[in-house]
Amino acid sequence: MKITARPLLISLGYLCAAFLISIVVGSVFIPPATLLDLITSALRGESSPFDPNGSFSTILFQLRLPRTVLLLLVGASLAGSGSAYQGLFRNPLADPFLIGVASGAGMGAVIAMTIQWPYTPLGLLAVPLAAFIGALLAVLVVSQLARVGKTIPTTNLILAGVSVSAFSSAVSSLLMINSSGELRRAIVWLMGGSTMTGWGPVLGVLPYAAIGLTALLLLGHPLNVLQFGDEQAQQLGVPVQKVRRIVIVAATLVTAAAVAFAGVIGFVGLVVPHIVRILWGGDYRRLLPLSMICGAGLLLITDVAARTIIAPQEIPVGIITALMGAPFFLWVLKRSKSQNYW
Amino acid sequence: MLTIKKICAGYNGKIILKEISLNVAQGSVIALIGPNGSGKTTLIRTVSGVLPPASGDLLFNREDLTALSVQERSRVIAVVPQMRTLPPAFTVREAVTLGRTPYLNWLGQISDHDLEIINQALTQTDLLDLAERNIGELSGGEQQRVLLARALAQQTPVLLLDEPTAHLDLQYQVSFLEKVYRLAHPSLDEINNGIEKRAVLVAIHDLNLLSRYADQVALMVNGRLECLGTPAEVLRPEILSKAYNLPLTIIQDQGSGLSAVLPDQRPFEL
Repeated sequence: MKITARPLLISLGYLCAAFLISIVVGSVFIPPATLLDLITSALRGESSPFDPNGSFSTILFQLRLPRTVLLLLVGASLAGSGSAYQGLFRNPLADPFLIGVASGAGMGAVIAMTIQWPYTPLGLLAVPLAAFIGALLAVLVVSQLARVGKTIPTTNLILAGVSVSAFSSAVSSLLMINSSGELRRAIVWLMGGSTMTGWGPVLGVLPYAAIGLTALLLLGHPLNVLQFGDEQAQQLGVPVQKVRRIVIVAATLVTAAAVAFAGVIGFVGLVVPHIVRILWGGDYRRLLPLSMICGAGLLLITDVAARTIIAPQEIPVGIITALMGAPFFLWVLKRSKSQNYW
Repeated sequence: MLTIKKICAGYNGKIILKEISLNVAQGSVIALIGPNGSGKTTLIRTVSGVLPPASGDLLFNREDLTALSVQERSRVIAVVPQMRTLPPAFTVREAVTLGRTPYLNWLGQISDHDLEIINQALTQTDLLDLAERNIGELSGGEQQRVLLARALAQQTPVLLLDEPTAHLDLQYQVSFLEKVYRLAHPSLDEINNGIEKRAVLVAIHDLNLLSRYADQVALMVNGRLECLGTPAEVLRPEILSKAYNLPLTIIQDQGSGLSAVLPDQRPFEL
């Protein structure tokens, strides 16, 4: 169980490449060679010779960079919480989207949005808080519904997740029909299109993601022990209930923040931890950080695709992750009996 | 060493263990026998701390075990659980490493000292050659040894085993129980190497292997401790017939002093 440097370097390299692509590619291509100059000029408060009318720097600093950083945080949060839920429920199909947490967060966020649209400082606090409460309710209801004795069978978890998901999505839709003007915007948001621009959402997600992801990173070893069941974990000295509570709160917190600012983006939390498992094994001390890094990279690449496939129009990124993720889900479901990497 | 004093425990308000008192001394193996449902597993779960007792005392050298934190307790008592499905993706070494959890921080950093203990546990259970294999690829006997190695890595003075030989063939049963016996009765070499004698409590169904590996036998019936003594004292036809509700004969081998328990009654006419 050594944390070797190679997987870390590979995944970080992948993330850097994705970050760069995400910054330069879009409706306007920013030549990578000018990037450094744009950044140093902006730091000196001058305009760059490559950018006489300032359009590159506006696109870079007001659109691309904040969007890229936001999706980086969201991707890391979704993949990190996905692997944490999988470890917590000892279930290969646990994913913030499939177990209803994301929809619960969405419902909470929509409820808050109908009261307060997230552009005031208060709104920036209210929406993630409401999303967090909705998500926490969803995960508690799902784990209670799915529990049989001391275990949570895969099928039960998915069924409970689907039903909670359907219920909270219905509530969200109902509220959105009632709210007039901003309807289309909210629908796009809910499908995982980050329509918000500027640095506001980034600053909104950052504290939640920082706290939640740090907590999850510290829980790798207890999650490893939990794979042998609650009873053995306790006999090995792990305070099981305490660990469970911290994992649920931390994973749900980052999911809620991601949903509140980027909408419901499914399957990242399922796909990424599985790929990391296949490549580098299931040790949670390694799986959690690598999932976060690769999740951020995957979401950035997906977003580039969402921006360019039918440019200049954008596809909500959640649609693309679902298009890729749903077949993957079926594949995992089919494999979950025989797999040896889980 | 481990003192169980008038322990009552159960589930959902239903009392299963009725005033069990038992002393497991350092350097001794106590075999816990009894029919299905007699409370053997419940006793092991209670002593290990997973099931809080309704009343009674659990002491380790006069220290109250129930007052210890989960982590402190796991430095005193290790459990080899009844084997169920183990997570297949762990390697043997990774699984045994988890036995060091009582001594690690939450990050789970392993020191050289931990590595040494893990290697020792792997050596004691003949698992060194399999250390990098995945648990999912191992046989039942090998998996059971992984659980024993993990418990050894916990370096506890008390070891509880819940039917560790249930899924093993005769050869593995014998070699497994020999290893367990060695833990309570280490060789002189081992003692010189600093290995401490442990107190071992093992729940077991096989009545024939007991007489060789157990110092004492505790017979449980309906949640009560029916009888406690040496194998020769407890493995008697009148005692076991009553406990198991089955007429039986015990054959003694005069040379070795070992005994075999055979049921008299045929289950059906041939």
